[in-house]
Amino acid sequence: MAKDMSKKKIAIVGGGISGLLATIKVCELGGEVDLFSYCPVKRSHSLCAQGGINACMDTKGEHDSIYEHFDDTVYGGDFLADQIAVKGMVEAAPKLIKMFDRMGVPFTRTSEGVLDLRNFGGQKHKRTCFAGSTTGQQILYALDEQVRRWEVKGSVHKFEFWEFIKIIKNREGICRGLVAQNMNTMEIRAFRADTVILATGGPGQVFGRCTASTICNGSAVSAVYQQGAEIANPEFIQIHPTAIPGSDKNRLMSEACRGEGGRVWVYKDGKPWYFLEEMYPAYGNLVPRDVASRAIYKVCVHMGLGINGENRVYLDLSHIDSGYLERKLGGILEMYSEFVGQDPRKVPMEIFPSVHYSMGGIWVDRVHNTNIPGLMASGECDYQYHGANRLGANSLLSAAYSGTVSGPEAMKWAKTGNKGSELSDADLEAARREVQNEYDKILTMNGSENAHKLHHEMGDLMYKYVAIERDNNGLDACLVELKKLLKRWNDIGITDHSPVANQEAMFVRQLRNMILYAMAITKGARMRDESRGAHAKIVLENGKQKRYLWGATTNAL
Amino acid sequence: MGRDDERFMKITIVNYDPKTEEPIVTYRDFDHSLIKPRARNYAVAKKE
Repeated sequence: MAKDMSKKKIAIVGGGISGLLATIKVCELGGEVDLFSYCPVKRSHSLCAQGGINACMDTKGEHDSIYEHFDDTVYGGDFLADQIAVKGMVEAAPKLIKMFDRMGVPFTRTSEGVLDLRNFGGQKHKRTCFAGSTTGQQILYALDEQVRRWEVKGSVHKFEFWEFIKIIKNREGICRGLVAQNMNTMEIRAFRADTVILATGGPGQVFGRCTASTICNGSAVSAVYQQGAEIANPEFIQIHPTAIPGSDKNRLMSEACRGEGGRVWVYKDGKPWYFLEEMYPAYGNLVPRDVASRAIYKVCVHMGLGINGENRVYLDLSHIDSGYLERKLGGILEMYSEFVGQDPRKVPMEIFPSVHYSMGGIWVDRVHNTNIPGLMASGECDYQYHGANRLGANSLLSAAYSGTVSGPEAMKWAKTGNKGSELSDADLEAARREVQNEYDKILTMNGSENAHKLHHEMGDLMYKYVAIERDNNGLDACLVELKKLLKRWNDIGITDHSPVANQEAMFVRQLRNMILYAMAITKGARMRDESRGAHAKIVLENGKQKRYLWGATTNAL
Repeated sequence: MGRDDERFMKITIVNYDPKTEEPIVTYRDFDHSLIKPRARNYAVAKKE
């Protein structure tokens, strides 16, 4: 057996902010980490977080308080978040900012040298710390450097380009390891672990076009769901109001645009109509995301006032000094110029809502244990902290905070938990063999369906029925359609039979998981007969609803 | 539809049914003892 029996081995799946912080915490406590990631950890989706991270630093003399942050988060989440958990997070927030500052995250500062703060949706105080408009990237890179330090010392073993497939339970039903596959060599291997932490991010790809990366497919969450882990609040999917629609994917335009004074408008009777300012005088353009998305949807789909009759509205920064914009928002303005070919410093941007984040996820207790002993979850893949709607800039916070909770807790379980029997070599081989067989079977699929086409169909279905406005007839129809898709999955034909780097075979496996996750989202939405936060249920009067099929008209931009 | 605290101020819990492959939905209570629920309306400023 192993050389040093006292060293605890924690397997962490996902190298985003939550996974990396958990890794650091485990190492600080003397543990060893096997770190699995789809991609080099510096390419994790935390990278794409733009606007900032909320913490009550109160450097602007606005008398902000931790209680106010707590209340804004609970109120913003429409009272569906566990309040004790949220309280823990907002209390830790200022300490996390100071830690990141010491690690060298280049937070934007005022000319006096103090931390700069900006406004964000659903908050009346300036509370969002930021590093230009690439905050997630800066934090991720800083954590990557810290993890490299532990890697050099031998505490961290990275398995980059390895895909998590499933957990391994011992005969008492306790999680004692996992099976993963190398995405280049296709080698499938079983790993022992004292604790497994999933930090695998959100399920955006279930909706096809979204602001999330292609790696954010929810496949890992669905895999453990099928192994008995509970999913909580899956119906709460955040639709971000301001994204650049694209035929391949939607690109996020940070809420920081609104935070820095951006105004949302369309033409009405020949004149600009600043509809958010009119509908919500107290918060104006800084309403939370679910509220802004619903308003934009209403203006475009129900009132037909979108730009040129299409489903877009203006997000306008052109009235703001370009030097100021460069300093505060440089990164994303460059992105808009590059993808759209227009300069947002001079002309208003054209945007429309897009699926962005999942408030729901794997059920965890307050220290991030799932209902399967030995399995933990942290970051976007867990359901804690955001209730029915997440406030902007609270996701970097929850990702970071949950990592600092799950890491130490994983070590505690590894040391003192009732872990039951060890996995024998035969157990490991059996688990590996099972996954190998499933994979080999996928390679021989020769039906008539195309996996990517099925994925598109699923995305269109989900946008049609489970997006901004939901109704029970539509949700019932969606469940029937998803079941058909699940059946059609069996008839997929594989075109790539390569024994190395076979992305198609891996995608086929992920797709099945995604369909099952989509069913959980839809069923959750169907059963919840109310409107709360991002989940808005409407009752149809004549049995028909005016629906907008997202993907259909977004190619032009 | 409005918010229905009586019936739905609960966490949705989804379990997987291996036989039918379908999700089973139940509800679970959670801690909301610190801030009393109030209507959410961003047209007006929060009251302290």
